[in-house]
Amino acid sequence: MGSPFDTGTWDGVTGAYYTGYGSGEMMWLLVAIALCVVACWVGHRHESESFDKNGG
Amino acid sequence: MEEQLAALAAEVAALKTVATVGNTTVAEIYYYVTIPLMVLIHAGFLAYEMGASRSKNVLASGIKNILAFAFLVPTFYFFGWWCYWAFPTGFDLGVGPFEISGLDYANAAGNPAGEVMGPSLADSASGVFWGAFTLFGATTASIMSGSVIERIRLVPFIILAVVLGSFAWVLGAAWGWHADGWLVTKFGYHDFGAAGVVHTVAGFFALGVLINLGPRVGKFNADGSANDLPGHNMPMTLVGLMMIIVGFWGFLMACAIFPNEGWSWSTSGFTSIYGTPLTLSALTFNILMGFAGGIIGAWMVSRDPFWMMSGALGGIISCAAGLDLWWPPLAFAVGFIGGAIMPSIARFVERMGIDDAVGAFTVHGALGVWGVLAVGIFAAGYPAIPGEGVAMTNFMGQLIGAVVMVLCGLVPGYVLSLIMKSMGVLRVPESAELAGLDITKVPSKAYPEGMSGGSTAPAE
Repeated sequence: MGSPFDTGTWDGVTGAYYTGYGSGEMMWLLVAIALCVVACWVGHRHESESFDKNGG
Repeated sequence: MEEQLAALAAEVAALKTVATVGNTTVAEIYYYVTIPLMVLIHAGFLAYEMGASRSKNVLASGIKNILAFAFLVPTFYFFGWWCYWAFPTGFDLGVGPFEISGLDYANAAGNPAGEVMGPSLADSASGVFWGAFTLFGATTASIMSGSVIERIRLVPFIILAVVLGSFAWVLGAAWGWHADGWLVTKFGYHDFGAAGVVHTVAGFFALGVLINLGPRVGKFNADGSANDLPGHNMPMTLVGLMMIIVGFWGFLMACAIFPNEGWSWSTSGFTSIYGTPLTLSALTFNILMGFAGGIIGAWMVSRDPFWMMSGALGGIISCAAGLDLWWPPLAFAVGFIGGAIMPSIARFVERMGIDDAVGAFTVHGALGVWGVLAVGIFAAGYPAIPGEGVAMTNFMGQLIGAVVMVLCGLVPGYVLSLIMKSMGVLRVPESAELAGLDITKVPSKAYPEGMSGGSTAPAE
């Protein structure tokens, strides 16, 4: 990850310039999706436990 | 033919004038609009702090917050703005490589008795720039304000707020948020959205004060265990936090430099304060992703509505330093990590015997450091300033910058509050704290016809 260009200057840089352009996009996309899924799963589990514990 | 050429030249000259005036006006409006948005940050902090206070201290907390903002305005005018331009190369008042710093430049740009510090038809930039920076400074004071509620004396607090908001963070900004700043030119330090210069400095300044201020009566038991001292109105606190998020759009908007002005870095697009290119589109992607990641990360580990909403702010702060650079899903992950580690940091701080009433050190100090380091981990290799052969963003530069920002906050916060404590003026009398600051200090009641002013904290 990091700068996608190694010219040492912003001169001449055009187009996409984000971190990992052309290499790491898919990995971080999958990480972000996975984090959302995990958070929902953990949240669902807690919600169920909370209802059980508090008489819901 | 000659007449036609003369007419054409006159028309071109007229069009150039219109374009210049129009563009100048647009730039002026751009920064002008950021200011009321940033005032919304303070409306948010006001609601946040008052909601987090017990009902017997609501108005005292509110007054403290409002007065911090009020005193920041004239003091930033008197000396804060001058300091930003004077100190980028260090305390030598020298001139940096872009020649927009040093004693002479500061005397021209920030002299409170100078003509640029007042209405001028020849200057449509100084006021709105000064205003934006004043609001940044007021934000630092608001950050500290929440952590010290319910037991700090008012005037010493105002003095601390002025030192933080009109000097301490300004020093950090001169060094790390200025194209001539030595952290930038020598170490490649990159901090687009002021994670270090505002949040780290303010959070660690608050920590320095908290060490000397001590916890609220009833916060800790004899065995060191902590009691929860809930605020009287969590909904107000949550809405306040959301208002801070709205205001942060203005804050981050003001971190970008408008193009095609006499003072602009670029004629063709927005840049960071360092002169490196960016787009508002980039900021939009990453602010929203960081905000969302912070909320979801905090919710996953805590479920406490307070920490969940604080995660929104924590997520943005985690991403702030690199908002101009992130691949958006990476910004989500960085924000998520920030939100997820917040509750653990808060518990650690509490185990150390520090009573940070609203988690200001956790959200701003700790996550500010994470935000600065995240650039070094994930966004290394970018040129830090325009030109060739310049310093590049790197982990060591970010680490050095983070340490400097910690010290810019912790040292003055600790030393000044220690002096105040030794003089016996830092903290309110215990009897006043127990009775409530609204009736003993303001004196007034926030809810004269309703809620009890008493507290149910065990130790009282």
